[in-house]
Amino acid sequence: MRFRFLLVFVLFALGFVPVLAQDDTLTLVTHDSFNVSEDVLAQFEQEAGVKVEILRSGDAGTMVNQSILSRENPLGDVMFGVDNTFLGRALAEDLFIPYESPLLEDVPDEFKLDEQNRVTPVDYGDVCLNYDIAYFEDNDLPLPESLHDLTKPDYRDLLVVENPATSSPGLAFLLATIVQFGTDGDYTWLDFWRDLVANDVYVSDDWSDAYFNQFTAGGGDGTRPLVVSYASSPPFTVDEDTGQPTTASIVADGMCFRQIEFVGILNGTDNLEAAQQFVDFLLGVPFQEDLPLQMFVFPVNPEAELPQDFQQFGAVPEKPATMDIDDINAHREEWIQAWTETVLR
Amino acid sequence: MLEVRDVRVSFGDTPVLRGVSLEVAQGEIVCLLGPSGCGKTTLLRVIAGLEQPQSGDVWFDGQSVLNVPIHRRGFGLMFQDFALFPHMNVAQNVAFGLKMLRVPPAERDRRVRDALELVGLQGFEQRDVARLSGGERQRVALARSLAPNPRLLMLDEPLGSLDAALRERLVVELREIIRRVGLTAVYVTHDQHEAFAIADRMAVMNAGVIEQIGTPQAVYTRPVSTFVARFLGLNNIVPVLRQQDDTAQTALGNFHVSAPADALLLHPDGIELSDPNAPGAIAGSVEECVYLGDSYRLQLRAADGISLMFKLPAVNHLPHVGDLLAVQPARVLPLANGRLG
Amino acid sequence: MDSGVDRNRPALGGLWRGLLLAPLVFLALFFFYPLLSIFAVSLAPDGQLNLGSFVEIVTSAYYRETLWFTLWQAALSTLLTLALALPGAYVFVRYRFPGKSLLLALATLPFVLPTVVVATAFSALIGPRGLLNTGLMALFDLDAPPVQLERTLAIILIVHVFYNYAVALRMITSFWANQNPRMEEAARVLGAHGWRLWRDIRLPLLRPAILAAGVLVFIFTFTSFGVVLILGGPRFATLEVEIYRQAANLFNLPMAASLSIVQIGLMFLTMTVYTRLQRRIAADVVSAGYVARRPRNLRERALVLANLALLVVLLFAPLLALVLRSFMAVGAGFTTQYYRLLADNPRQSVLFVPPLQAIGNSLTFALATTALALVLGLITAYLLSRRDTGLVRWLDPLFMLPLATSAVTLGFGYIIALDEPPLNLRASPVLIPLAHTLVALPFVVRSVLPALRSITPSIQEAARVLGASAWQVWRWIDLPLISRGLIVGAIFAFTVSMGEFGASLFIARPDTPTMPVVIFRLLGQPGAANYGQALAMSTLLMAVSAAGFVLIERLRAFGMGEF
Repeated sequence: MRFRFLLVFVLFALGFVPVLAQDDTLTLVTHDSFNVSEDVLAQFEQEAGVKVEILRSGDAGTMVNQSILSRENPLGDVMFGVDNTFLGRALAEDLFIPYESPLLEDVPDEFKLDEQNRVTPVDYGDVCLNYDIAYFEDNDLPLPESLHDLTKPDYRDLLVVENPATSSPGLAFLLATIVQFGTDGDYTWLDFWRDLVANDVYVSDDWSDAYFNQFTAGGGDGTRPLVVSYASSPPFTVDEDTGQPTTASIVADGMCFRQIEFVGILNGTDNLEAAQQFVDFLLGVPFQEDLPLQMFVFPVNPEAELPQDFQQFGAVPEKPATMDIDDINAHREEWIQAWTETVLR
Repeated sequence: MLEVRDVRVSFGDTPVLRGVSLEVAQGEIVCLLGPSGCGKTTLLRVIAGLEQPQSGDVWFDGQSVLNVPIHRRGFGLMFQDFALFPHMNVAQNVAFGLKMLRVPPAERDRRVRDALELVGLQGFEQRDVARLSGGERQRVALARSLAPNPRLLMLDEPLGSLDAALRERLVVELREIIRRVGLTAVYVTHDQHEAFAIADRMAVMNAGVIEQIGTPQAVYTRPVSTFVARFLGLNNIVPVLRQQDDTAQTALGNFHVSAPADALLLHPDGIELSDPNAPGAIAGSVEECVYLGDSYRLQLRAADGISLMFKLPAVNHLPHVGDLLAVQPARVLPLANGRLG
Repeated sequence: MDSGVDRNRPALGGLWRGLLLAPLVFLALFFFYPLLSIFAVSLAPDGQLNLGSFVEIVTSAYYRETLWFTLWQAALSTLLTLALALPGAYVFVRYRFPGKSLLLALATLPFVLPTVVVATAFSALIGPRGLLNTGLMALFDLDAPPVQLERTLAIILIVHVFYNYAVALRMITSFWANQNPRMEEAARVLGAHGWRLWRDIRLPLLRPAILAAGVLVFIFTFTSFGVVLILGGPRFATLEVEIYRQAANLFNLPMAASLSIVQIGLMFLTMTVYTRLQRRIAADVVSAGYVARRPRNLRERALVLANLALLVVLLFAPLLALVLRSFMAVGAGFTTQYYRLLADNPRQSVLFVPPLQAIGNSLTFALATTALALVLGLITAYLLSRRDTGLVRWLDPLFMLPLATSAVTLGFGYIIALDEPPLNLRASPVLIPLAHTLVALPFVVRSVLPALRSITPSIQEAARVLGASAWQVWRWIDLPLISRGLIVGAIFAFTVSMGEFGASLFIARPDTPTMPVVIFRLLGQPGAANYGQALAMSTLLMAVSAAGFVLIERLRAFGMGEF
């Protein structure tokens, strides 16, 4: 009798077979914030004759790291969501197969960061401060006009940012402060952060916690009216009664950082054709027009028409901060580490 | 029947059996007697197959069993610690050997009952072995060894772990049971009384060899070596200083012997008080005198500090410590220091 | 004739002898090799000796502070645990009250609960969305949760006490109960009473047990991972969390490896201290022992009640809250929707597979782990039960080593070591049961070994002589005698695998997540549905662990196992 007990165990153990991707599915590796309208995706599935499975693996950084670690046996066929802050590492680790989509022609050159077309730009967004309009009006508080204003007593206890180690808007905002304050001089970016800490900044591990749980206008029970989010976030807070958004973003010069998101075909895919079709699909008008409402970002395809709310309430900063991807790649960890030491400990 | 031929075993560099030969006849009970470490248990284990000899052979019923695996030899072995299976009840323990022989359940039950009846444990079938007394455990172990009708029963100090009173009672019982079944048996013990009580013949072992083999009576009355004599508690041993033909010179005088001797045993059974002037009388002072009920045990200190021990009937007058006495040994036996031939 | 006994246990065939090597090979491949790879990566990241990371650990205030925090939070947790467990032990040793043995047994339950479950349970009790806060908010009509413990040191310490209270309680209680009461009686006759009795007599006499319990709790809290990661927020990091952060978030493998080495070293030291202390406990036990009696007066009754109340509140309130909360809809009505949601996998979900499949994965991994750990553990136990080799004394602690190594380190080691053919397993789900087996192996060995050692050679020989072949001896004698130990070991392995978090977080692929990993992912997402699913899943996982625990306790009642 005890034998049978053991036997059952062994059989169960042998019956364990890893899940294998089937030929007619295309696995999209992406970050937790990826979203697409079901009908848009369904249309692609129908046209390409494949089923798309979406594998969300944390924030963009974790996604890239995980893909590097499982390079030998890729998690999927296509990766969407690597942005300019992590692009350097992904390219250095040879994650992608080059592919030049015919639709790339129309995309403005400022978004094309890889000459070999190993990655293709899909969307961009500016990481900016968002604020709760009602709170600022009710308290008669002026908006911060520069990053430095945030260290003033007026804004004590009001700001929530994301941890750059675990969140890509967090990293983007960190880069904006570096561009603004520089790494040397009398007042470096670290001095700025030290002042922010003194002013009781709150650090969330990810954007969704910051926006939905900590931000006053994010729908949760948050207590802070200033949050690091996207310039394109306010259209999502349009009040049905008033037709006006409850939040707005601050797009003053140098206060935002431009993030460009890319798609790449993962080295090792066994479904190259479908993967290429998928890249074309991401650049195509239906997906590009679906993007803003699903992911708070702007399409790179100029032919895509922006939704009404976006045209009205989505702001595009004139002079967002930018940084060369090689610079980012060279210092990213060093900066995150320094930030962690300054802000969290 | 059983024939052990010049078996040698050593563990590493230590020889444990140094050429042992032994024959056991059908229906005979042979006792292996000796101090711990003499190799008696190892010899038993060689016969059982639990130990492989470096040389020599073991024959049973006219053929070598050396290459027969343990479980096919059809022998029974009772261990000193009884080695009852703790996870089985009494009946299951006894039935184990029958189960291995694939005896059908109905017959198995009958034979288990018979075996338990033989050892006087009727009704104990369902008992948990952990809850048995020492004597009961011994009987279960015996029943377990008997149940498969072994061709040869071996018992390794089967009473060793029991107290003296129980031992005395059980040893008689044990002999009776073995007799009744008509088994051939090899019995290992370090207790001469046990050996006397149970053995048809006994083999006294020392340091890996058999020093003497014979009926208990023969061995006791005529030990052949100083070791055998001492092991049987015969300590009136006088070293031979010089020997010329039949005359052995010792510190206590000259004695007539029939064979070459390293020492002489003045067998206590034949010692009597004598006239100090009688020829061959040995004088000494009383060192100790113990009243034993039907007799006295006297210890006499003779010349050269040699101590002699003997018994006197209680009818005699009780000597005092320090009294001077003389004794006359009736039987003087030649002893060898080591094994004889 | 002992020297001859083992040489002639049922003769070992060549195959069998080769089998004995299996656990050693396993240990070499899946423990030492990854560990050595960590050494290589940390000492020579680019193929050349480079102690840069170590220098950085020593020179940078950041790492010194991380180490310091790890140390003092562990020390503080240990002190708190002891401070609460000591009066508890006093009550358990001195007084008799209904349900005593049941309570003492139940108190050990947290020990087998996965950290993720415990973290979720505490969040369900005192988190911002927990029962306490929602209750208070409804009661006093508050806008914000009044109890703000998330992301504080306090909640880390509370959970650490929750985990370890019973461990300390049991260790001290069993030591104390076996102590000779005459010593204390003598001291009282000599005039000691009140706090002097504690200071001069009781505490010094209990010192070995208090120290051993303290060191054990220190070990557990020093390597705390899930609790700090989930409840502590980004501001707190133990070494273990920092290793994970450096490797998974910052991709700084040399630094992660160096930190791992620091941790292994410190843990090994502490383990050595612990085994020494434990030997002393065993030697000090006297058979006389205290006799418990009913509390007599009001003061004694209050003391007993206070301690029991603490036990019940500390241990059961969070677990109860977890279960209740998992059935509570947003508007506070009863619902089973969170459980039903577990079967769904909408494309918007952060999970690649429906949560239900994670349960399937966890079960599959746990069964594979159990099978593997049983086979290897059994062979290892045989290896260690052989009395004839001096090798055994050396092998025994070797097989205990995985217990001293943190799961995160292990997972990290797998990632960097098992990436080349023929052991290119990095991207394979097989890694998970392998890692779990390593963690479970010591439990199986410790469960089987005492039973195996109780089988004297003469029992096996008796069976041989009675006509059993070598195989039959194993089948009819060894197996039945060790079966209970095997079952206990199996349940341990199963429970350990179901709840393992640290290593799984590293090596589980998104397409084959385990329950704890899914709970962790769900906890990180906004929305009542995600949180509710995390609660529902934690409740299920708790049920599995608790069932395993009850089985172990029942089997252990028959005196099995060395834990």
